[in-house]
Amino acid sequence: MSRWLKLLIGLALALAAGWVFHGPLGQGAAFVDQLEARVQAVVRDADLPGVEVRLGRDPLSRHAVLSGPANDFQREGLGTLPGLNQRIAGVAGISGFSWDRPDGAMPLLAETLLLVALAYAIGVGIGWLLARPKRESFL
Amino acid sequence: MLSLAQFDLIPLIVALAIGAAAGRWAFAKPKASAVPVMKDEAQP
Repeated sequence: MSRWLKLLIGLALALAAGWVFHGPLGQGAAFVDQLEARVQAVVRDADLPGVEVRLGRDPLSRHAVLSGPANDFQREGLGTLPGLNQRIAGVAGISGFSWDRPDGAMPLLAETLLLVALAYAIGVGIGWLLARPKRESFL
Repeated sequence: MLSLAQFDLIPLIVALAIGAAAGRWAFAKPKASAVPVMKDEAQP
């Protein structure tokens, strides 16, 4: 079996494991639920009636979509007083936010699989270090 | 995207382990045959 085929089989296995973790095991949805609860708490603390926030569900994403009546001051803040935008952006785990439309939202599955591929590549490098022939000393 | 890594560690650790195993498998030196073969042995 060729070296590339072995590496492709390993990559397929790693991506499948990432997908199982994200989808069938429900970790992706649980993560988005947890994140959504956190940003909703931030909006509740801002005390802006009618303003709502939700995260992407179809597909799952970490992008927050805000909606509702809020003026520029409430959105952008003023000076050292942060607006809702800065508060939402400051929530750990949020990839971005937009008002009314989910602009530029990257699916959580795509992010997960890209990270899995990166981790796999690092793992292959470690495997190569472990498998390379040792130098023989002539002394 | 990289900020996701801190929340999603388990699949990354699994992928790292699979990658290390695949790397060892792919780059392993082929084992030498247990029985030495004499190539230039005179044929009867």
